[in-house]
Amino acid sequence: MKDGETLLDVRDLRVSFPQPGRGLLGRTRNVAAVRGISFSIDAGETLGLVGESGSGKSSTGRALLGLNRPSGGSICFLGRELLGLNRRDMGNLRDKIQMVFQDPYSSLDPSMTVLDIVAEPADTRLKLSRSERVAMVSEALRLVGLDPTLRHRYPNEFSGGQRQRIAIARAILLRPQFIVCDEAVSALDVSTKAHVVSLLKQIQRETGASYLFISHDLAIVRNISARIAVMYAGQICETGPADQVCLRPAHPYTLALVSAHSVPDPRAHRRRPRIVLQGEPASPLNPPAGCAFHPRCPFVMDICRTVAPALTPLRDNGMTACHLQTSGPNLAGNSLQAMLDRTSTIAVNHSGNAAGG
Amino acid sequence: MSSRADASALEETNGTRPLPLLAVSGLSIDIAMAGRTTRVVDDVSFEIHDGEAVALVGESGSGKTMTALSILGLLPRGATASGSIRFREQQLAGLPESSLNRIRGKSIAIIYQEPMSSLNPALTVGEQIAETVRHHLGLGRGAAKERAVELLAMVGIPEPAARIHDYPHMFSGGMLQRVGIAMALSCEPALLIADEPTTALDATVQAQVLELLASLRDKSRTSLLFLTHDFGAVAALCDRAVVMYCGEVVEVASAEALFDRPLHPYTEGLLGAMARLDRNTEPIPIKGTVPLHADFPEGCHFHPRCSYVVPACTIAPIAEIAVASRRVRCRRFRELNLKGSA
Repeated sequence: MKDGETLLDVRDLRVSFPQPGRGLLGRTRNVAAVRGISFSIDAGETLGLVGESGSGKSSTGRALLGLNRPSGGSICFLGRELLGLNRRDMGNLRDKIQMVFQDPYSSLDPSMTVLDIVAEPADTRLKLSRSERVAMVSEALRLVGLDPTLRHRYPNEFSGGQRQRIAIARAILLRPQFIVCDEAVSALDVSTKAHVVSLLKQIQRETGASYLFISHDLAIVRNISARIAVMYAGQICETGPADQVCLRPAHPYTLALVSAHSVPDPRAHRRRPRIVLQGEPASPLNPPAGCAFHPRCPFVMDICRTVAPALTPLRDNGMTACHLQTSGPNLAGNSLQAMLDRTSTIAVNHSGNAAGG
Repeated sequence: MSSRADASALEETNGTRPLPLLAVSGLSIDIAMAGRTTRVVDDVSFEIHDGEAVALVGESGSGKTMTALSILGLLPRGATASGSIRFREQQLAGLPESSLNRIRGKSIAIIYQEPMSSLNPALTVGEQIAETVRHHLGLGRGAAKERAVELLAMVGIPEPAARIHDYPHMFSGGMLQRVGIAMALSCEPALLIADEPTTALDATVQAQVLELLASLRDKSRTSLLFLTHDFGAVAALCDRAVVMYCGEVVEVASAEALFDRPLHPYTEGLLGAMARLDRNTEPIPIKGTVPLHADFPEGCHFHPRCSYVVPACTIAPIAEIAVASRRVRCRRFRELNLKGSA
């Protein structure tokens, strides 16, 4: 498969979980974790998926691996519909799709040696001789920068960064075309994080794998991804090229995420736009009516409280779901910055609340 | 007053500075494990002045948490500290538990990374805050309850009068960290120790908590010792930074000076390893990994990972050198022109 061809195409994906009601007679409610999202990933490409806890980003990643059962939509991988596949057929795709989890402490079985952990995806699918198995694991360990002679050790003998390398070695063992990285570097120290990110990029160059890189850390996501999709309350509120999303955000929530990210420069910190949001991320149990972000949005208009905005194309590449694009100031495809620059229209005051003027 | 003299010898020779609120001097911590003793914190000295926010920066294993815990005599079993910890006029090192208990939560309070782990799940948050103020300030039930409501309002919890009756599990992570901050502030401590208080929180909630801490520092002049591995948070909140590596202080500087031009290669390495949202620069990892306590390298602990290492770095321990109002533990700092992040 060549770079640039569509590897994965997700349309209107929905995931919900039953939430038992309170008490004996409480009615079971459905928690809509993912509420109709669409995106595609090309071969050799990385899509960054950003959002806060409860935004549905992990549920999205897990749905792609068949780890939860979507309630609707379509997941088309290499031209084949994954939704509705049974467990065995899904298992047969394990050599093509793999996942790296957040916590390198809980994702590795402490009673297994590194060799057995890394060989696991092969053991369930291939009949390998002992020496083939060792050779395959050693190759994967070398690729992630671990000494293959460490294969007889147990996970507790390794640091967090080394464990995450072991988890990555397991994920790349069968040379998958697609890897879901769910907060894969979030638990690591600054320098180890940089190590693992550069390792993932190197593996991508060497194997041509595509990544869905799920993280709450916008700076890491910008660094590793070509494109970014921002999720809020189970929906994508903005998507576009990584630099554009981070430097010229079009959705107020993206702007808030960007402004929440502190940079190691006190003077730049004082100069940054201060959009400190009020309140908490929306609850997936009871998402607000209209635009899910409206209770926290500094630019909220009347229409936002009742009508959910649709994703609309921006002037540059990318799309955003925000009424500011079509109603009120009518940004017509421009980034939010264009509006903030016209300070006579809307001023963002010291506490981050916008005031119309 | 010998500790004060020791500490000020490292500071710039400026006799006009008032007595610091906290002066940690020559602090070392040993941990006895499996029959051997390991030094996890070695000869750490720093000061915090009234109203000052000081960051203690380091990766896991740097000794920053041990350093902070020792201030309140909260070291785990098996750990022993030596050195001087002077809080105002009082020497805290070696104080009996009963005396420390009069300081803990009253003059010096602490907030933790996981707010859930520092709260009792079986008591309402109101009861827990009231307990602290009744114990330390001797308030009656009614007054303690009023104080709890006032504190929750101060940290920005909506409907505080109703929420004091809620249990910890009924709060979100961000709100719970606010409860933790409210409880820590209940007796208006002179010093607040915050151990990675935002690490477990979502990005926008992190920004809210940092904003809250900054406003508390500005309004109530509470001094802050902020433990973190995130230089972004240091830039957002702190006046000065103490950088630790392998149990030692490697650099002390004002935040602005540190980000403009670090003097220690480890500081430069950490700054360069950060992914930047505002710049399209490639994060560069520091080569190698943090060594385990038992095998800190000879000489400069950082030398196996340092790009500027010379043979002399590998032999003898490096002493801290005072330069104007900064300190650095690197023999080559004068000739190196290291890159900052500002």
